[in-house]
Parts: sequence; structure tokens; C-alpha cells
Amino acid sequence: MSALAELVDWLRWITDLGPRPPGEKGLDWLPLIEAHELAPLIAHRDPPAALAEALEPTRITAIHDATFRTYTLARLLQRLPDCVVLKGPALAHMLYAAPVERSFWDLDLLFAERAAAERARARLCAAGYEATQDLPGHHHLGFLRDPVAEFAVELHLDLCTPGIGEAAVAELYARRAPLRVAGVDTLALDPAGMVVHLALHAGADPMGTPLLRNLLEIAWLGARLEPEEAAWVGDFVARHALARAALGLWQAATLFEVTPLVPKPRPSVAGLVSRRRLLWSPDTRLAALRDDLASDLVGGGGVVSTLRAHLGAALRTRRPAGLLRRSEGLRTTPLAAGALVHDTRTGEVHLLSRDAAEAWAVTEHPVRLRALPPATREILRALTRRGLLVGRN
Amino acid sequence: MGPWSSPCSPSRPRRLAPGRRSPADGAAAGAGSLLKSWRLGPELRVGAGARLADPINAVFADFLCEDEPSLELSIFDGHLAMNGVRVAPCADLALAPLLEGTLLGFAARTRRDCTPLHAGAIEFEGRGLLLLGDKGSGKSTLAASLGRYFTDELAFVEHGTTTLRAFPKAATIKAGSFALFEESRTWSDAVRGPVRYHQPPERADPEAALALSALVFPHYAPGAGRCVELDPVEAAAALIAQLFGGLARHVGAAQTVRALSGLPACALHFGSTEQAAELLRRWR
Repeated sequence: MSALAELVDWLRWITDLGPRPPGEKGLDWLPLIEAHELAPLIAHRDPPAALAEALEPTRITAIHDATFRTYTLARLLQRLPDCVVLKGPALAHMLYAAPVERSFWDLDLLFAERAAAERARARLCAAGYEATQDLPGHHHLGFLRDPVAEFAVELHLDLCTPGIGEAAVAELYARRAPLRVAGVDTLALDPAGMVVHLALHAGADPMGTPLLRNLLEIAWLGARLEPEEAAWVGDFVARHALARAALGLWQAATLFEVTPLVPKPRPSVAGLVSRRRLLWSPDTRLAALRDDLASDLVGGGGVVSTLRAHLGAALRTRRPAGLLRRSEGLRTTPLAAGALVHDTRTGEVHLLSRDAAEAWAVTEHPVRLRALPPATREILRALTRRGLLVGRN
Repeated sequence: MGPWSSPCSPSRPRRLAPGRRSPADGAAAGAGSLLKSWRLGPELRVGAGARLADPINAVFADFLCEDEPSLELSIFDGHLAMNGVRVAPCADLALAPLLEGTLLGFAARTRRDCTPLHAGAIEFEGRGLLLLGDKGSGKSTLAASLGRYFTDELAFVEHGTTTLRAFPKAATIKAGSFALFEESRTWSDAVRGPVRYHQPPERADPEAALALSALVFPHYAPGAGRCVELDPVEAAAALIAQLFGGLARHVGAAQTVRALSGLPACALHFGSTEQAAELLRRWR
């Protein structure tokens, strides 16, 4: 059993999603726990003996930090009306047994209108927060940071980039629910809305937030929803065509063995091949899902060459450097319908169609160009012209 | 008093008798449940109920004041709670170290007029000494033993200057130095092991100013003692390593490092507090 599978079983147990796993556990969990910021939760839930000593400093630091964060949060929320608390700060107070179990060092707030967000920004700047510039088209204003308190605030107008649309945001905002933080009355997304937001993050967040904790929270909170709330999640995701959320919900349900809130997704290339690469880890638990999704995508008739799609995306975003340049740090995993290339330096995973996989193989094992199928040759030429491959053919 | 001054004026000794308040800690979070408050930073006054009186007195007695706190800590259902909301589980024996770490973090993260350093400070025979070193280097033991005590763990230096503001919480004494101080309650610290708190009789009031004149990097090592001069570059590197939040935390932090690294600096290898005192007398 892999460390990931063991850890997932343990997380299922401590969140009441599954039975206590048998046997000695935890021997090689530390890298995963640290990478996915799960140490405060595990440290406060009677950790396995093999881990207890290693987690003890984290347990103590988490208490120090949680007290300060709760204090900072309460003070900020007193000054920022007309908003809805998102993600960590809300989850720490609505899902976890105590705030100490969930670390967070920023506060994400959703506003119904830009003017309210601008007013909040002015108040935060007056309180010592330093504002960064807005990014055009981004779903939140430029983030604000208090370097002394080591705390940041993001003022959201949407939940992700590209956005889910005004109608969807308005529907989520309308479902806001009361939340009490250290004696301060505020509002948060309701649990169903929170699940959707978490799933959007898990499905295609370009930021490096901890995916395993993200998926755990989706499964944990999702399992607590009332039937009508769970039904609303599926309906909302379908009505607003939130493919990214569907993928996040499906990954969480698969990994933590809970009832899926949406039908099995057929993700887009962009949705499936994201930087959120846990799905592409070598863990056997996810292998079936991975191959299934990949086959749907690559093997189906008329599927766009994902290599070409990536090429286009790379050129649009002007960051082609990490894409399929043949160098060390690239790992290839064959699939029935193509191949995966995992760039261990950038964390990106590229899904290659059969043609593209052959092109890739050529770069590893030179063959005569004329012996290749025409489609493969075409891709190779395109890549070479654009400087993305330094081929030997 | 500096910009951090409070309307209340702490005096010494003003220890609070535990259990003076009848309701259980955390039973109510409103203003009526407050016992006393401890001034620890700007906009930061900690009110605490009876079960927290002993541990807070042990560490922060000099910060006691009377005015309304903005934050109330209590014990509720086996948890440390803030404003009546459970934050983290805790055991009685670990309360003092837990509060010490928590409230030091508060103080460092709410103070904007000073650069916070992980350091001790004393006035020793007319000289202001900043004691810098990692855990176990002996800085708390020296701070509590030599001269007039200003702090042992958290040194607030006014941005861009060599002026320190006293933060005289009780010195944290680790097991290896227990015998050097009068017996007191032993607390359990999950990271540092058993600790005791010692309030040096000769200590500065909170916020008292100290003009620093030298940097001392203690290294406890039994045997022959010695003082080794450090150049300003070594001193600056060591200062940066002991900054809370690093250089990016405040533009004043770099200016403080620049000002402090211009002071004479030495690595003090000592095997006893008497030896350390003698070496410091002879140095410069």
C-alpha cells in the first residue's frame, strides 16, 4: 500500500468517513503531510506513534499561530462588513473541531459588487496593509499584505480565473450563511457553496495550494451536506457548466470513497491536464480513474491532439519554456491511448495523444523521419519550428 | 514611554491570586467575566480567567494592568479559548509555555515601531548588551543572572537605532540551569522539555529604554572560557538570522541590522555565569 493510500485511509478515519485502518501507520507520510499542509490536523488527532514525535513542534507552533490568526481574523471581520468569508478561515470555524487544525495565512473575501471591495481595500490600507496592483481580468483585486502581522487578504469578485460568471456568483452569494469567529458575527458561503468553491480550486487552480487537503475538505464537507444541499451542488455545477468543479468533486469522491455529488465528468483538455497533478501520481488507487479519463479524452474519435492544444496554450500564455522541451526531469508514463509526460521541474503534466506520444518517443529514440506517420511528422515539424524541441531528426 | 505606552502603569510585584473569580473560566466571554488584563502590545491586552492566572503570572506578571482587554483568553472544555471560542486543546502542565509562545508571537506580530529579534538584553556594569543565539546557547541563563534584566527571548529595537525597549517577561530556564535559580514550578514544554520561569529581582519596567553598546553571542561550553571578536559582516549575518519575520517584514529591519552591526561584537564561550561575567568585564 502506498504512503498516499495509507494517509488517505487515516484521513478518512479521523474525519468519520471510514473505519480506523489496521496496523502500524505513518512511517513515510511526512513528505506528503508537509506538502499538503495536513500536519496541524493530524498532529491534533492522536497521530500514529511513528509520527507523533516528529509532529510535536508543529502541534505547538500551530497553537501559537491559531490563536494569533483567530485574533487577527476577528479584528479584520469587525472592520469589513458586506462580504462573505471563503476557504480556510471559514472552514477552520465551520468544519474542523478547532481552528488549530486548519492553518491559513490569508483571508479570502467575496464581495457582491466592486465598490464594496474597493471600500474594504481602502480600510485595509489605512490599517497598515500594503496593496499590490490589480491584474487585469483576475478574479480578485491585487492582494493586500500586512508584512508585520504576516497576514494577507484577497478581495474577490469571482471565485476563479476565468470566472464562473455573474449569475453563478450571485447565486452562491445569495446562499451565504451566518458564521461566528471568536465572538464576531460574519457571513460565509453555505456548506454547499463552499464545496463548489473548493472543487473549483481542486479542478484547475493554477496556484500551488495543497491539493490533498483540498480534496479531503471537499469529501468531508460534502459528506455532511443535507440531501437537498447535495442535490443543489450537482444541479449548480451542471447548470453553470463548471467542468473544473466537476473534476474536483469526482477526484475527491474517488480518492476518499464517498458518494459523488456529480455524474462522472468528461473533462476538457484544459480541465484534465492541469498542474494539480495528484491524479497523475503513480498511486494505484487513482490509476483506474486516470486511465479511464485519459482514454475518454485521447481515444475517442475526433479528439483534439492534446499536444497541439498545449502548444497553443503555451504560446497564448507566452510560457513555452516548460513545455515538452527535451531535458532531464521529464518522466513519461505510457497509457493505452497515448502517454503522460510529467515535468518534475514545473509540476506540469502533459497528456499526449497517440500521435503526440510517438513524436515524443522520437525525441527520445531517434528514428528516420520518413518512417513516421504523416501526423507525427507534422507535429514534430511544428514543435521544431517553434523551438520547443531540439530534435535529432 | 514610547509610542507603545499604555494608559495603565504596571507596577511590581502585582501578582494575582488564582481562583479569585468564581465562575469557571470560559463559562462566559463577556466583559463581566474578566479578571485582570495583561498589556503585551499595541491594541493587545489579554484578559484571563482564574485557571490562566497562575501560568500568566509565571511569565508575564510585569505586564499586568487594569483596563479593558481587547482579547480574552480562557480555558473552556479543555481548550485554550479566545473570546469564548475554542482554539486548541491544551493540558494544564503545558499552559505557561504555551501562553509564552503564543503571546510572544502576538507581541512580535503587532508591533510596528520596533524590529523584533530573537535575543536577550541586559545592562551589565553600565553597558547595554544584546545577547543573540539559538536555543540552548545560554542567553536566557545569562540574561537572568548578570546585571539588570531587560528581556531573554524577544528584543524590541527601535527601527534604525541601537535603542532597545524592555520586554521583561520572566526568563525561561531550561532543565540544565535549574540549579542556578531558586526553585519554582516546573512546566512541561513539548519542544524545549521541562522549563521554569524566573523573574530576576533586578529588572527593567516594560518599555524602559536601553542604549545597546555591544553584541554578545553566547555559547555554553564547559571548559576554558574565551571571547572571540566578530567582524561586522559576521554580526550582521547573525542578526539577520535572529530577525522575526526576516528583512522583508519591515523596511526598518534592515536599518536596524545596519545600526546594530556597527557595534562591537564577540562570541562568548563560557562554562559558568561567573566565568561569563569575568570575560565580559575584560572584553574591551
